[in-house]
Amino acid sequence: MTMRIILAVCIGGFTGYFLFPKEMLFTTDYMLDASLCLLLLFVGIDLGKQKGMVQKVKRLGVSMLVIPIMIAVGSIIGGMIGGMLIQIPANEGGALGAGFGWYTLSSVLLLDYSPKLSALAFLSNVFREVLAIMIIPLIAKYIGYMEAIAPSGATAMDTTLPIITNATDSKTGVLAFISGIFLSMLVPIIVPLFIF
Amino acid sequence: MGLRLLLYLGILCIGIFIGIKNVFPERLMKRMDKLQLIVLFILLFIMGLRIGADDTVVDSLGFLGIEAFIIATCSIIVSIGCVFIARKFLNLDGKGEK
Repeated sequence: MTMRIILAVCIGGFTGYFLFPKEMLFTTDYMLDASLCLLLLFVGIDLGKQKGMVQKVKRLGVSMLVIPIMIAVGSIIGGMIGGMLIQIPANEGGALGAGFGWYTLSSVLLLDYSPKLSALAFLSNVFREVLAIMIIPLIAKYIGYMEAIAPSGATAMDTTLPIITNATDSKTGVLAFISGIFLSMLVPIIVPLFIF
Repeated sequence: MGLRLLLYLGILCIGIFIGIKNVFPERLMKRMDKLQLIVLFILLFIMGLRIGADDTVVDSLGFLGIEAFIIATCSIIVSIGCVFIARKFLNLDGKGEK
């Protein structure tokens, strides 16, 4: 599955770079929305088919709060460690990590502060999403279902959700969606705090 | 963001309703699994395409690429580690069960 995922993204990348006419780029907005909505519908149908889904979700209990908080803390600390490695101040590294994969918003939030950091936020969060897509099946298989939510960050509520439900189970899918919403709401709050 | 969230939640709820009511026969559901995989690959292809066609990304790949990769990798690894610790602390197995 991972190989096929990587292949699909790479073929897309090459097509976008070499073949796809730039003036047609706006059409990908619609295609992306349409395929995303369709996939979310499928995810929903899968969830509905499960017997005793509500009980399973109820049993998640405290994890529904703990998991997204841990993902947030880990992403920020990771961003700071990465920042140290590339020799930028800890607060800037933290701001990059606090993008949680939402590249459009985090780069806009940092634009006034520094164009270079904004570009870095964009690119590092694009990488985060792409890497997440590639490694989620591996993490789910070799480490654990809950850990497979971590790479996604904020994108667990949309683009990477179908991959998580595909690699794990429906209960983890619900947890991922909740975590994605939680982290998405945190991005516009936490990123500015680091550059205040 | 707010509207989008409502849209996603709405679609998920419609899906859950369809799933609970079992509207579609079993044979059709099997086909849907295949369709789901096809749509997933279309989504991945489009995401790759948008990144490849984005000049900001491609232009900055050269000088910021490695730095961005380091940041992304570190945040992913540490966040996986944090979730792992939390899962052990909550006494859950690999599938998140007690």
